Amino acid sequence: MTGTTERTRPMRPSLTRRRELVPPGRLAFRRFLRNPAAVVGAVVLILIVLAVVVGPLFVPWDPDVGELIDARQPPSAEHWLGTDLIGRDELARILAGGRVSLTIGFLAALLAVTVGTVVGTLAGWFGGVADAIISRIIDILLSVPAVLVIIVFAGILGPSLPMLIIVFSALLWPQSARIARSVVLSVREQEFVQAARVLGSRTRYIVLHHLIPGVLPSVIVAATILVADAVLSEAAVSFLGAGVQPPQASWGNMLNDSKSLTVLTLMPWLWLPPGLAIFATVLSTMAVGDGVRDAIDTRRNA
Amino acid sequence: MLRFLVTRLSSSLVVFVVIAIGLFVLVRLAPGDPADALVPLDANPGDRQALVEQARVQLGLDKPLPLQFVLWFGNLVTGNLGFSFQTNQPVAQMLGDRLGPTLLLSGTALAVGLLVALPVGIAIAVRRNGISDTAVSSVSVIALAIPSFFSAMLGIWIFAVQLRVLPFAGMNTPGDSSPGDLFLHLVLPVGILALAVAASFIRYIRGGMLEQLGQDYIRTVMAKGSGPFRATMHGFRNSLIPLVTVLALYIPLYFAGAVVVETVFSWPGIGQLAINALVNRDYPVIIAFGLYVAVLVLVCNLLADVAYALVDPRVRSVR
Repeated sequence: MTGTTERTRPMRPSLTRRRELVPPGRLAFRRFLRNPAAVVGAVVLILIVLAVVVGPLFVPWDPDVGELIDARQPPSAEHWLGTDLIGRDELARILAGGRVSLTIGFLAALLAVTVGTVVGTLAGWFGGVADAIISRIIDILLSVPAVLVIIVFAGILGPSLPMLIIVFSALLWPQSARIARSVVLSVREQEFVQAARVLGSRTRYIVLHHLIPGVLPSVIVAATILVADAVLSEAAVSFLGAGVQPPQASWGNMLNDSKSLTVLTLMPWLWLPPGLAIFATVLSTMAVGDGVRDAIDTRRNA
Repeated sequence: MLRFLVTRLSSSLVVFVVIAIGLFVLVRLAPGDPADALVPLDANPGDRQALVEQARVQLGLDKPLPLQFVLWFGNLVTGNLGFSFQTNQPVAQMLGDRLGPTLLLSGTALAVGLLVALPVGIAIAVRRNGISDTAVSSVSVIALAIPSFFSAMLGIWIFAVQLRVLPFAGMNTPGDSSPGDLFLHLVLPVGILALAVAASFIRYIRGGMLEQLGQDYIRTVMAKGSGPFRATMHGFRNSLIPLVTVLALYIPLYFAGAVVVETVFSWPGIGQLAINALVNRDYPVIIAFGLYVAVLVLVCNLLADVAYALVDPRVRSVR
């Protein structure tokens, strides 16, 4: 520091004040950018999304149709990731499958976390009959295994993308609702909330200024876990043969074709890429979520 | 506390009935006519209609739906879960046969996972942002991001195909039912499940501990002269509150049969039974599986609520 600034500083108190006036959102964004894992995760996630959105335009092969004469080829200049058991281009299928898996994952998680946060916060705050009823509904939904519901629904309505998304979000929202509710349950008894009530704050003010900020970090972590969860669940359900149906590709049902020991031992290009694709997507989603949590929650960074 | 228990228990029973109604309705909505399926396709077309009607009466499907439900629910409560469409065995017996292997697999995996996660999670929260924290957190995130069927396939590929040290299918080598052989068969599936359990619980424990260690009361405890260990234990007790909820969510998932792992490893558990039933549209088995999971979740929720009230007196007083 030079002598000049030292002398002028007391005369310009606005300098220090301006620093405090940076919006919390921008501060959080700066903290996010200082987290290498989160930045790498964000970059990888953006690349994956770009690849599955734009990529199919550059791959000349049809993901759903193959020539039997091309079957079981290892990676080559023509088929970068080789071909599967009935001669379909593996790269084309990975990209097409990614569109399906990501659409299901993000839409389902978004729906689930929005419903879950609102319902959970209200249940935790109001307590009483509303809370009891909502908690019982959460219990009912949680006790229904996702795999069973999806297979039964698929049997009734026929497997379809909207059905998978609706069933996933219908089964995933209780998780974020429970987390939001349990946070609110312990926050609402804390002194600063009690003080706010004593001071006569309106419910809406307390919910927006005291409860939601308290719930937000946990719910954002929950949201990333839900995206990861939805991608993983879709993969599992399709792997078990109850989700996305062939010939349409999804990362899960591509692995289903590779359960046999022959493929496992002799054709790693058929099961490594879809598995790694799920892994990279889920991992980068979680890294972004962790970064967001650390960036928002100042207590952990103070 | 007693009133708290009674309210909880009775509402759990109500939920169970609602779930039973839901399952009953869902299966009635399913395509296909069970009466029609009972009659052989090569039956004389003229007689077929009459035979189908006869089968319908036999199955009780001619009665009004509410009455069908009451009859079915009555059977259910007395332990009669019906007969499998596929094997004609009593469903309750089929479920019972599969319970042991699933409990063995999931229970061991859960225990191993928790035993690893508790000390590790607390330790890395105390030394947060240290080398051990960074390393363990990274590994646990990586383990969480691997789909279980992919890690199972990797495990089979490495340990059964390349190294040839571990078996990868079933519970026993045919003709060998020694505990040692069972243990060898357990290693891969338990390892893969326990990895997932430990990975997610380390995250929750670490998160909960950090939440608590940042609180003022920890500073107070330290200021009053307690060592770091006692202060950590203070925080640990409070971090159990959210953990109990998470545990209640996870136990049923694992005990319902880690369906995927059981499928990959041909483990003769409930998960595999359910998948077989779903593929073959064996509705009585599917319903039984659904009810089994429902009971499991309701019991775990009840336990979680009780534990919740035990560890946090404020929750108890609210109700």
